[in-house]
Amino acid sequence: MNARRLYPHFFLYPALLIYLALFIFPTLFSFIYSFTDWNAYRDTIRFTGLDNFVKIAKNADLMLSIGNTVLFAVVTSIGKNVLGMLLAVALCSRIGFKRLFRTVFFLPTVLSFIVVGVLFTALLHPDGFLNQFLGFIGLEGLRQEWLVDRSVVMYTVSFVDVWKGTGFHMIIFMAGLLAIPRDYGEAAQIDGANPLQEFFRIKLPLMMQAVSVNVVLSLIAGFKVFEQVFVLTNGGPGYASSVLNSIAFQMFGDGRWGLGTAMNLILFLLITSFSILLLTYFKRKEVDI
Amino acid sequence: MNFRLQKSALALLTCFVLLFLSACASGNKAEPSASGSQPASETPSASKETAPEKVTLSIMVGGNNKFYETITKEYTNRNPHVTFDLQTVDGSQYDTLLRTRIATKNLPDIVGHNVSDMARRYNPTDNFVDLSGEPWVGRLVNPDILKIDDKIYNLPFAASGSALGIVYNKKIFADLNLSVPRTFEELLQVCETLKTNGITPFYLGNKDGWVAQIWGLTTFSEVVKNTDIMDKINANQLKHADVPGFEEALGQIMQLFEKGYVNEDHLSVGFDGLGGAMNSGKAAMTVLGDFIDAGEQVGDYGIFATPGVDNPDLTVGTVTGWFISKNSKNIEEAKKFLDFWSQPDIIGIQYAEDPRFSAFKDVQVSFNPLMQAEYDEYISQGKVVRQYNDLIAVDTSELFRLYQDMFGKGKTPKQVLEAWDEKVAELAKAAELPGW
Amino acid sequence: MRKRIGKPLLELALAVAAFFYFFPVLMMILGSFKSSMEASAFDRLWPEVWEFGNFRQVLSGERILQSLRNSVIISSFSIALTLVLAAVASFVTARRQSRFVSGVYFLFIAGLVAPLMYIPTIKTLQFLSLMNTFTGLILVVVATNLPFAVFLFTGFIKGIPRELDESAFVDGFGTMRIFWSIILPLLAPVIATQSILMLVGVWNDLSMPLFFLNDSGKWTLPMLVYNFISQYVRNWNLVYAFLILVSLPVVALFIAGQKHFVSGLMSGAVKG
Repeated sequence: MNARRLYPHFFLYPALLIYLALFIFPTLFSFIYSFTDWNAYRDTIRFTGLDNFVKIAKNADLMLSIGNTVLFAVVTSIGKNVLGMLLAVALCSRIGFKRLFRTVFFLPTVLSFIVVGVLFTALLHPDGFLNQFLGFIGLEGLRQEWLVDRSVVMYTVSFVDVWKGTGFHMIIFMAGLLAIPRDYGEAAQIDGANPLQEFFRIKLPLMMQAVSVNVVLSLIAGFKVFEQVFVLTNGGPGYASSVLNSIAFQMFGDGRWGLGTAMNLILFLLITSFSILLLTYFKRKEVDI
Repeated sequence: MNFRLQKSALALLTCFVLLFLSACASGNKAEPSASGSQPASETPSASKETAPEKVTLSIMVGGNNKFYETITKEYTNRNPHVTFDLQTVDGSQYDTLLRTRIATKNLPDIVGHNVSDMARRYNPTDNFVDLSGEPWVGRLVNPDILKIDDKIYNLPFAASGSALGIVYNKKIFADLNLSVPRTFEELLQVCETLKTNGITPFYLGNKDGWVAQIWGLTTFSEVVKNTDIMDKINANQLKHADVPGFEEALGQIMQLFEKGYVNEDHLSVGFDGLGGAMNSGKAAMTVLGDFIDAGEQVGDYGIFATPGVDNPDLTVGTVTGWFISKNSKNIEEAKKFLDFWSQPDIIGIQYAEDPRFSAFKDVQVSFNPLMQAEYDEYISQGKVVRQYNDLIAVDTSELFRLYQDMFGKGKTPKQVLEAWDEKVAELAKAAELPGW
Repeated sequence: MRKRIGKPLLELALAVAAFFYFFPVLMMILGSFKSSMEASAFDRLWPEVWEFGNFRQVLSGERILQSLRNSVIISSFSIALTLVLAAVASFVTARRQSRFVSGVYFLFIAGLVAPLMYIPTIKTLQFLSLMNTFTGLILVVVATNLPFAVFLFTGFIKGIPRELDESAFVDGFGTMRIFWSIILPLLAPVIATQSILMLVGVWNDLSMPLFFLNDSGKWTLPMLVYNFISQYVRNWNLVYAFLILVSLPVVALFIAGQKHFVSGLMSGAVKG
């Protein structure tokens, strides 16, 4: 009875209003519009059932973009988390210059994608620093058209994203590591465990919360990829590096709104299913200190 | 019980506030930013007539030539009550921006764009003002290429569009005693000679979709010349994949790649890099148009028609010009501005910076050597053909991407045509064209 | 013994890794002091001749100041609004147990995962006549940031003892007063964290302005960069200077407030 006066419902209304109007309602509408032929050329909308999805399934380029999106999400997640973990362990051990290293590795996170994109466009240019460097150290054969060759372009874009995002995940892992009391590590050493065992058997399980946050965040961000592709390759050449969001953007410009919304819906389903799966998996693995 | 009551209360509240917000927002169009408009100079206060109401004309156009600003400033000088909100947008983003603004019905007063695109994609009858009765129409050199459904919707910047084809470095050709090839075999021989002499035959800028499509565009135009192929395609009676000429044309440029006649980084270079690269003399030819950005050295270049077929005519493109948006609040002032633009001394400013074949009978333009040669060899003799993009009934921007896919070895020519047919069908059905 | 070799070896490995990691940024910084020709030739890192005029040249374009102003407006308003709405709402979601409140909280959390559906949002903004306005963009930014803010604030407020509110209430304080004078000051850490995270996110964001703003006069800094890069493509030295100027505010903030940044991020991850 105190609760009603002390914590009134109307405190929720402003936030709820904006959230409903500009996030929830559009999302709900998209569920409906995905099943129509909504486009910019006509004012009437017809319900077309699963037509859009059939079209997507039959189109090799669109399916490629879905595949690229999943590939990107998985590759960048692995990259950011493995690298982030390695760096976190290194930076939590007894070395000097910690602040400096931390700054260097975290700096890319605060740069805009457009900045990162332009920098790497220069670096990855056929005559850019990377290829020159490879030639310089005698690895001529590894020189590629990093942003143009179909077989590597998606990995190149993933690489750039990992460069930018690792610092963020590194910090979170550091938080997880620092939360583990020293006694655990010392007890393990007394018992004769080597550093690897110490890490995998003791530290990692105690860090599960940080791991789950990092993995889920990186996967979700990976699925939502847009600016990275937009700025580096614009989905090209052709469709080689297209992803769900870049296609949806193209479709909006093309006026194929029903189809674009359908692509967005696929993204939504991908993200929610992966997140639920992962969150339940990690919930079970969490160990409390 | 409590829950349900609160839910309905919330719903009601939401509706109320949304209505309130929309009423507020539409009644109060004052937006926080004032873009780069110049402050209007003061009208003489001692005037007996009422000072004309202040007007701001918003203009959107692609590319960043200086003459846009020069001419609008001049207009403001002569008509102090009019100021301009001029948005010059970088070329490659312009298309997306225009599409978005038309889709969201958020057009500026005056829009610069080309006739062909407008006709096929943007429904001029609904979106733009019919200018067929304007005073300057009578002075047009070539009113026919402007006509959409027999009406004129824009003031053109030129009498004919840019010519597209192969731009070549005349000095290099002269040094190696090469003559302009008129067949594909001759072109291959020219390339071979260039290559053995250490010069890259072709330097292409395929990063920009609209450059990547030029080979296809120019060769297709010749394939459909004097046939009813386009009519049949537009009426869903024929598919691109069934026309051998198209596949052959695309196969030709792929041959150039296979024989090593093209720069390796062609997919990383766009239009902006082409002028500089050609000027450095390391390559002899590029697939482009008479608008190559070669600065002072433009006189070193000539243009010839792409020899997909034997002895081709030069492909000319559509014309760009000013359109007036139908829901502009300043249509009368915009019309006056267009008339002002058409005056010889004013449009002369444009031609001085960016020479085109003059749109008006009473305006003379002097050409750079590239364009003069083009005029002498092709235009004055009527050896021109309308570009394919003007003849197909739907928007071609997807085709640009398909070409890039082909260059990136993601598709064969045949697959490009098949994918294009699919897209044409989809676009035609969406626009409910007859026959689909 | 292992430890004695291990430490310098690790430091060395890290130093090498850090150098490669920092290389792109180094290239940008050094490049901004080069002449146009040197910067566009990708074979030397260190400038032969130091040019200091690039920054002034870039700054003299009028567009950059306008875009700077736009970025500031959008960032500050969206952050402020998010903070206010989230704090107020989280006060209730953290304390009150009703089904309605739990439902609302779940709705916000769901938003952490769901991607923004751009096209229907554009249509909604059009319906509200807010398309291509700062107001519209700010509201969308707020809407997409509320989930995380509510999540963060709720978790934090749960850590503040209920007794504080209840005893104040018994003493006759109204709910507004309790929120304002007791809870809000205690929220300083999460307010800082949320502000910093949002600032980096909103300032650097390209996709929201791309979708929801059409006017070149309303461009934010990232949009300006994107649109003008092709103009400068032959002058990489100017491009680098441009990029540095655009990144400077957030980088400066980061370097100055590193401690808060990092600790906020850390506590948010572990507590949440």
